[in-house]
Amino acid sequence: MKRLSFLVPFFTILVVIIFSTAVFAAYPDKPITYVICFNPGGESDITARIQQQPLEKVLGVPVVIVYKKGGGGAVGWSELMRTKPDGYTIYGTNLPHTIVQPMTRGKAGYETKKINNVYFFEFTPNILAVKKDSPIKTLKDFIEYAKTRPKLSIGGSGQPSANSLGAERFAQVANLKLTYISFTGSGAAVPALLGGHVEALMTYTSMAARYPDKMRAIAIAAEKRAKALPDVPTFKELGYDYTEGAYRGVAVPPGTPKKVRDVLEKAFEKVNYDPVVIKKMEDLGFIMEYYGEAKSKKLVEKLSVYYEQLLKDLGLLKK
Amino acid sequence: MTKIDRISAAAFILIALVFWSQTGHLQYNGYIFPRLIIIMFAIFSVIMFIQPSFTKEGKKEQTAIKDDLKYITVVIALVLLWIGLLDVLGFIVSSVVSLTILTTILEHHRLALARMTFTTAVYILLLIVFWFIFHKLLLVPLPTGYFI
Amino acid sequence: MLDSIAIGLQHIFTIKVLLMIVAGLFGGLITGALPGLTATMAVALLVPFTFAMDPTEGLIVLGAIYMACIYGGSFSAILVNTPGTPSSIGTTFDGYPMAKKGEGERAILIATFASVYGGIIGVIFLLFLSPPLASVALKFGPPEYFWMAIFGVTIIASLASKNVIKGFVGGAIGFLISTIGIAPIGGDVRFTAGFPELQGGIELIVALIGFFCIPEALTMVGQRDKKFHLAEAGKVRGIFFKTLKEVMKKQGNLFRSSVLGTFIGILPGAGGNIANLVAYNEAVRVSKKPETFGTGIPDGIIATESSNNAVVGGGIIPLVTLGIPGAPPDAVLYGVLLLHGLRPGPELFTTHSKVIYTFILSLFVATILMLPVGVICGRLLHRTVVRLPIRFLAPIILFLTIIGSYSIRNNIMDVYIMLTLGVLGYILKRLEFHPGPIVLGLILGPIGEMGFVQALLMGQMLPNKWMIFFNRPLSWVLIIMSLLSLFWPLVAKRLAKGWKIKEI
Repeated sequence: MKRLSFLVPFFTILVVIIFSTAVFAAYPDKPITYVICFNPGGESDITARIQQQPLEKVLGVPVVIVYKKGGGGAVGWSELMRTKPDGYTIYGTNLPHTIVQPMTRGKAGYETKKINNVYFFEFTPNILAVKKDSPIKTLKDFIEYAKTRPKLSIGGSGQPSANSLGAERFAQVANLKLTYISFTGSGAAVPALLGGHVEALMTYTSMAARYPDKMRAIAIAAEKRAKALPDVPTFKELGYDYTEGAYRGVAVPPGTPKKVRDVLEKAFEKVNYDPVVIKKMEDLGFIMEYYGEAKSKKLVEKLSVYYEQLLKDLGLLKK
Repeated sequence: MTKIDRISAAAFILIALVFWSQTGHLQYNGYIFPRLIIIMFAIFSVIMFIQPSFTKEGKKEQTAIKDDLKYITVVIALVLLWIGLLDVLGFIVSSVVSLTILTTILEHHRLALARMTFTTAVYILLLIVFWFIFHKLLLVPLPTGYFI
Repeated sequence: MLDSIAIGLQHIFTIKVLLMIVAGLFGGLITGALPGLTATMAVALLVPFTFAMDPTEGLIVLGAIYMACIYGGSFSAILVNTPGTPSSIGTTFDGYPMAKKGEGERAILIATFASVYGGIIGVIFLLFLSPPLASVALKFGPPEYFWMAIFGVTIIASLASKNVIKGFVGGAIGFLISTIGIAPIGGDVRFTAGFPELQGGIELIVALIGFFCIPEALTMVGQRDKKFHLAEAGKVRGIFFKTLKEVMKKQGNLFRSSVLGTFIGILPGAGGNIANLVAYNEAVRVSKKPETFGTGIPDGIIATESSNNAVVGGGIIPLVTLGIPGAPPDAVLYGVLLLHGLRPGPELFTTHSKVIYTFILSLFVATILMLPVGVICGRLLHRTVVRLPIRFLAPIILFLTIIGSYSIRNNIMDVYIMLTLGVLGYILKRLEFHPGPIVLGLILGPIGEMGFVQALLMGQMLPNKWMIFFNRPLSWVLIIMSLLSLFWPLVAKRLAKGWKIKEI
């Protein structure tokens, strides 16, 4: 009996050591799954692939990209709510999708507040674009042309989305009558413009960067001009208070420990300063952003207020 | 066949009505296409219902379908259970168990223990190879549970 | 261009690259044959592996995978009535009956020859006629896509020739299922019964597996007196060359279907899934014995398999000339091009001509190599399926359906949906509904709806918005094609009768 009681403290210490190594085991120590809630080949996929190798270097583990598309991302984000919060599954998130979807759908399967954004790494502003061979060369030309027509067709990706809500806001601000026609993705909107099926596009800077010889961007809805399109003036410069675009970031499930979130935040920040990553992103028309976790939360709150008002004005709020 | 056709046609019309009732809260752009489809669906179902009265098909000899519905229902229930267990027991364990049970059920003759063990062994091997290629090599995500 | 071709060929005919192509072909065949893994997924899965390679070689591997994957779909279509990819839906119509008769190997050989032929035609168009063809793609706008969907609907009449009404009911069911989820215009949530997972709608592959595979698996289970699934044919000597001669005799079918496939591939948003059914429909229409289709005749397989492989080359045409992917896997290829800094467009053919010509030629080589690789794998697979007793085969098939439907979106809900649709499919099969029209409705639904609503929005610029469907020449081409497709069988019968009377 004496022998056995001698062993008890020994085993207790052993258990404590094992337990603490488990708790303090360095995160990450196995592959991380990076879920993209859209189609392969899309822009969220491309930005993730640009980040993939640098992330693997910084985190020291493989990063596996997986796709969960559906409902404009909602299917993936509702799964985010139920994923194990151990930091080994991270989800790409997009604004304004994650803000406007619950507002317009009633039951999107997730709540904006519950999405724990760890980092927002890029911003793709809207641009107003016409065909390269169009007589419209500046925003002034466009507005004059629009005033001569009872309605103008303008295409874009998704509804509600940065493109669609941007088009509505622009119409408000410039006092125009625009009919927005949504397409499944910018990849479908661009051929519509090039084929003459719509007269203009409210699309993303990345599209203008991809088709410089076919499209002309006449204004960009950002605070500053984009590096990829240095000659395109901002709407603000031209006197129209209109900024709009899509943010891309990364989120973890609710309940993820702070340590894990910190590691991810720092990793994405480091990758975002990688000159190779910066060059690839900017060449494709993406604008680098550096919103850490706390700043991301504030960004979401600020934008939620803005979109709630806009949606209310458009009669799309479902509360 | 006529009777069954008529019953299914009636069921379809009912389904069409259910779907229609779900379109009330949609915007114009959202309901216009589904409503058109529902109308076409209903029209065709009605034609399907009326049709036997006009065609002189006669009593078509029903080709004896020898499907044993008992087995089919059991298998469906098993597969349902299998899917449910995927997230609980994990991919390999639940699959090996379900596969073995299914194979054993489909056995025509003796339920020898030896055969069952052999079957289980084969499946374990197959599953491990599969898991290795798809999960480890190609990094395709597979359902994970408490085991693997 | 000629010296670029020479350089390209030099690059390809090295041991390393040829081995990579063969590896890609194997990988593509396997993913194609497995229901649930699509060409898009296969290409996307292997993108990370190509980061380590130089862009040309990465593209070559992806191209080989893509081509083989579309071909590989025919294996499962023939052997277990399950299209391995949506591009092989039509192959089940004649391929599976052939296999059941014990002619499975013949069916696989036919599919192989047809796929190689179609692939080559598609690549030839890609190599020589890209710029003019690409501009045709742009002319297709929303009204044209709508009329294309209507044209697709007329195919239902051919598929369900035995009971046309049931065919249209099935088609309507398919269209209805396709509306579940988020409305493409406006973003309304429809028919989800409160399930957030259904916001994404019903995935096509899930429905394919459910409607085609599960009923067969359940039938296998239910037929207690059969030990093996397919009849084993006696060894036919020289089956390879016999079948080759047989297929090559059908030049009309081969060429027509391949051209159709190439053109449909060029249109963004339409791909192999539509091409194979349109080609099948055309083959039925021009045939002198349309009633033989569906019983297991070579023409059916030839039409579907040549058209779907032609889509590969066709889809790349708008990709490299305009930067617009013609088919979903091309979107992934586009991403790869962008990631390596290669921007599609005229620039690609001038500054990076080496890359692009090498890639196109590699597709050529890959398609030809598909012949030996495919025949070996196909025969092996056929023998396995024939020799494996049902008590192993059926559970394994069920296993593959579960994995297949799970792997699409890593969502267990899809597996449940697959099973539900499977049971529904079994019931519908017993009620004598052909799964073809249902699946066709599912495919055409989104295309038709988007075209319809987008066109109406476009029409708001006109005094009467409905006129948008009728004031464009290209629309009228499609309208006339649809009318012909629908009424030709009746007209042909009338004409035939008319001539007979005249003769007397």
